[in-house]
Amino acid sequence: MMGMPMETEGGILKVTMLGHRRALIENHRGVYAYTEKGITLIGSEGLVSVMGTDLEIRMLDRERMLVDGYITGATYE
Amino acid sequence: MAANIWNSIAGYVIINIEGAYIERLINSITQSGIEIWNLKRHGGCIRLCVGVGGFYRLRTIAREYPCRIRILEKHGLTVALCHMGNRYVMAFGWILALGALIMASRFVWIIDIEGCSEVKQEQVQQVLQDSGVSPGARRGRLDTAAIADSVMASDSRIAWAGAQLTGVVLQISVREAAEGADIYQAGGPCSIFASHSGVITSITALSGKPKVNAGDAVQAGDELISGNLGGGIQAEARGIVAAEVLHRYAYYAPWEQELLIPTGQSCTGVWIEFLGKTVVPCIPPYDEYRLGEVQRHTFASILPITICSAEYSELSEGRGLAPATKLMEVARAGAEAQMYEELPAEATIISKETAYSADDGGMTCTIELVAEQNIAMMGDILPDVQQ
Repeated sequence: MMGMPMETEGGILKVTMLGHRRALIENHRGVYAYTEKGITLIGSEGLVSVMGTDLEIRMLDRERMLVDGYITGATYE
Repeated sequence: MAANIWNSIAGYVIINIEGAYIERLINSITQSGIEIWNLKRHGGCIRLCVGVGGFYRLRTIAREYPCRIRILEKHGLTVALCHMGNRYVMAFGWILALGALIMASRFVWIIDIEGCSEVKQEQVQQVLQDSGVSPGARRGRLDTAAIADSVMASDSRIAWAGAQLTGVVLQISVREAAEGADIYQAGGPCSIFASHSGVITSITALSGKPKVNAGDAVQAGDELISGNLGGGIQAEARGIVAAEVLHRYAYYAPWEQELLIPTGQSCTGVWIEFLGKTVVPCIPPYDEYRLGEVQRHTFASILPITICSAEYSELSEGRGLAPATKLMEVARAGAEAQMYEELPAEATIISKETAYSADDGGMTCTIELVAEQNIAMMGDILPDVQQ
């Protein structure tokens, strides 16, 4: 809208990855599933899955999640 | 990192959640504002960390879900303090020790004085005591600048003094003054003459007219720096004339000397050693004695003890014929005594040769040395010689 960045609209799930070792997910609406193969989060436009092995949620609060481990990918459902 | 430090102080627990709808429980926990971290899935359960306060709130929320919570580990200072239980005396002891440490650090307990050589350390300590500075004085009442001033003013030999307070140590630094140079008093007109015969190595004429140069050979009494400047003008000749001078000292020592002579009396002395150290000494039976060969008997297989014995032969002073080696020492000592008595203190010995000669009566030690010394000597100005 008006050429503004999408981040300013607020509420949109944002995934920031640091290599394949760390991922920061912002603006999530809760954990849908947490298995040994991946973590599925609820976003404003659907579900987002972060797949990998040895995934550990370093920090979790109402809107942000920091995931460490060997991340193989992120998919939108 | 700050959060980790705070959690370690405030305390946290590692819990295991198992059951159904664990993800919903986690969502409820986060929506309640309870901080959780380090979540990891282990098979059918999730392990996570939560603060102590958050754990009590989490337990209330978890009752609504078919989950079971189990505490695996407890960490933090508050947890450690809880483990102390009813150890009130230990807690009181900790507080008492900490209080004593804090109280003790408010006083000066050590006074360290450095830099004293001519000025005695006890003198500086007395000055400090008179100023009210001693071990046990309160740190807050000490004025280091005033202390330094009082130490410096106490003795004229102290050129500078400093005081520094570091913890419970008061460091006093003293710097002594160097000796002042002699003030020259001007005299009447005179010339400089040679006090000894020798070869001039250097001549420094501070006033007057030099008559010789470096490398010249002079005899005792030769004029070195003249106070006669010519034209009827006379001045006080001053200067330093260094020359290499040959000195010769001889001492004759007769064969018959005062010696320690055996009286013929002897006895056996015994002492005990333990691990090489004397534990039971033997008191010598005579004032002057000669010790014979030491016999040692050990009991190493039983105890590390050694019993030692030796023969003590009594000696007494008397006159007798000294051996040659002894006489050489006596003659050399006599010649060197002469040398130290006659040689100027500031002379530098360049070479020294010692020779011995013996005859029927005794032994002579001759020392020949070349020393560089100041040979300047004041004397009356010589009259002008008509050319």
